[in-house]
Amino acid sequence: MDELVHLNRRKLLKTTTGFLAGLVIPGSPLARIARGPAWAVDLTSLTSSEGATLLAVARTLMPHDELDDAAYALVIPAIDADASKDEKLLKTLREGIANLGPDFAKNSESTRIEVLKKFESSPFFQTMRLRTVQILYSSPLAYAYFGYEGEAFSKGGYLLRGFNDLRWLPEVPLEDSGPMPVGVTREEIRDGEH
Amino acid sequence: MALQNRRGHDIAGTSLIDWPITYKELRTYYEIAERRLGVTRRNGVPGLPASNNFKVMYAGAKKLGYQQVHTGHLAINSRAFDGRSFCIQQGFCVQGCKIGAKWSALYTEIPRAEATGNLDLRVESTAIRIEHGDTGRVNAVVYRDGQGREQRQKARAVCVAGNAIETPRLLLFSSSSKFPQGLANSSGQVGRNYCHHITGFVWGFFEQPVYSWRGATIAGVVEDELINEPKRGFAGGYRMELVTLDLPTFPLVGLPYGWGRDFTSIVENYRNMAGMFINGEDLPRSDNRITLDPVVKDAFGLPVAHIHVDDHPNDQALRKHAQAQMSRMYEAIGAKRIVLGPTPPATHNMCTARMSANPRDGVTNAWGQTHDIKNLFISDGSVLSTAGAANPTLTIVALALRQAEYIVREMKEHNI
Repeated sequence: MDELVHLNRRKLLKTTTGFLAGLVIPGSPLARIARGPAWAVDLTSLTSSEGATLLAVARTLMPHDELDDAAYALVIPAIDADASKDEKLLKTLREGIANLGPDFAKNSESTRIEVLKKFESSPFFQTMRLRTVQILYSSPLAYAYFGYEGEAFSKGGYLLRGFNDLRWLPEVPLEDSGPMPVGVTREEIRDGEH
Repeated sequence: MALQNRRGHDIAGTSLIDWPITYKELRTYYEIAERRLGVTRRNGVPGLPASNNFKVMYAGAKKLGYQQVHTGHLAINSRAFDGRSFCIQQGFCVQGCKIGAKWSALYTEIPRAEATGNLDLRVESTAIRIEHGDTGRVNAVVYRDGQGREQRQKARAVCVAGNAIETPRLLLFSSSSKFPQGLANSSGQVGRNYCHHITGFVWGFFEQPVYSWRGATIAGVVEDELINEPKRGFAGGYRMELVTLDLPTFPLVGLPYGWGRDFTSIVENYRNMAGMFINGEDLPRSDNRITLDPVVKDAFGLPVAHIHVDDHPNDQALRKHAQAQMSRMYEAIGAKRIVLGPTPPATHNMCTARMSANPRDGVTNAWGQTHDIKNLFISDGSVLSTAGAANPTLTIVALALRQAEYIVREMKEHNI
C-alpha cells in the first residue's frame, strides 16, 4: 500500500517540480481504501502541466471510465522517477509531450486517439504504453476496481477462500478431480463465509 | 507418452530423428520419478481438487466429447507428502511454491544430498569453461565463485545441467585446439534442433465470474489431442493445459498488443475470464539453434547465447488447430467473447544436445554420455531427441536417474 501512503501523505520536497491532485469520489473503490478526501502525487522532474498531459495519455491508452483518476495518477510519478535517473528518457518525454500539443489533455477522447496514433511507433508512445500497463494494473486501486484479490499466501491460500466456489457450471466428478486435503471437506467450503 | 518418433523422417524442413531409447527402457525410471515427486493421479496419489478455472475447461471439453480431461499429473502435493504440505491453492505456481507443496529439487533432493556429506555445493558460482587433457577426456571445470574469483575444480567426470540454452553455450565456448568447434561437437549438432513447444493463450469471457487466479495455476489438462493424426493437417499432438495470469501480467503478456477501448474492454472482464494454454510438439529444425553471440558479452566477458527460431508450417498448423478447438470449448458453454493471446517464444527449452543412435545426428548416446568424450555427460532437457507434447520435467528426471545408475556402473568398472 505504499502508493496510498504516497497519495495521502504528501512530502513537499525542495526538489518538487510539479504535482497532480484530485478528489476522492465517494462510493468509488478509492474511497473504500483512501484515508482522506483528496489525493496528490509529487513530481521531481516533470512540471504539473507535463504531468497532466501524461495523465491524459495514460487514460487514453487504457481507458476504464469508472476507474479513478488517482489510479492513473500513480503511473506518472513512476515515469517521473524513471526520468529523474535517465536524461535521455526525460528528453523523450518532453519531445513527446511537445508533439501532442498544448491542448492535448483538454481534447475529446477521439481527438486524443487520433493524435496518439500519429506517434504510435515512437519511443515516447511505447514507453507510455508499457509503463501505463505495468503500473496501472498493479495498484491496490486497480485490484479493487477489477475485483482481483492478488496473492493469497498471507491469508492461507485460496483453499478456503473460493478457489472452487463457481456454481454456474456442473461440478467435476471426483474421478477427474480430487478430494479436498485431509481435514477440509467440500461441505465446509460451501458453508464458509464467502 | 510415446517417446519414439513413429512418423518417419520424411517431413520436409525438419531434422527429426528417432530416440535411441524405447519407452519400455525408460518406463521403470518414469515410475521411480513419479513416486519421488509424488505425482498426482499416479500410484494411488489423489488428483488435485477442481478449481473454478478447471470447472470451465472441464465443462467445455465434455461438450466437445473429449474423454481425457482431469486435474493433471502434477508434482504438486494433493495431500501432505514427503515432509511437505498439501497444496493450499495459492495460485502463482509459476513463481515457485511458498509452502513447498510443489516439488523442487532445491528443497528435496539437494538438501538430502548435502546431508549425505558427499555433496559439496558451490553456491552462486558460474561455470565458465570445461577443460580436458591430452587424451581428450575432460578433467576440470573452471568457474567464477560468488565473489567473481576464478576457481578450478578437478573432475573424473562432468555432468552438465544448464538446460537447453546454457548447456550448449558452455560446450561451445569450451572450445580448444583439440576441439575447435566446442566440446562434444564433432557432429556440429551442439546447439542445433532447439525445441521450445508450440505455445499460445486462449481466453474465454463469460457472463459470470470465474476468478481464474484462485488456485493451482495449471491444475487441468485435456489430453485427447495428444495423438499423431495427420488428418488434422499436422504431425504430432498437443495438450491443452489450464492457465491464468495475474492482473498486471495478463494485459502485459497475455493479450495481443493493443490499446484503447477494445483492449481495455477485455481487461474490464478479467474476473469473468477462463484461460487455457497450448503445449504442443514442435518439430526440430537444424537451423533453430543456439550459437554464441558475436557482439553481446556477459559480466565475465563471455559471449551470451544467441537464439534463432523459425516456425515450421507444421507448428503453425498445430497452433491453429489448438486455438480453434479451445475456442470451440469455450463457445460450447456460452462464452461471450474469445481472445487468442500471443504465443510466448518458449515455455520449455529442449533438444540442443540431443541423444542419437548415430553420432552424426546428435551429441550424446542413450545415456546422455557425449559421443565424443566418454566422461562428459549432459543431464538436462538438452538431451531430449524430440520435444513431445508433455511438460518435460518428468522425462528429464527419469533420464537423470537412469544416467546416474549408468555412471556409477561405468565408474566401478573403470570405464570412466
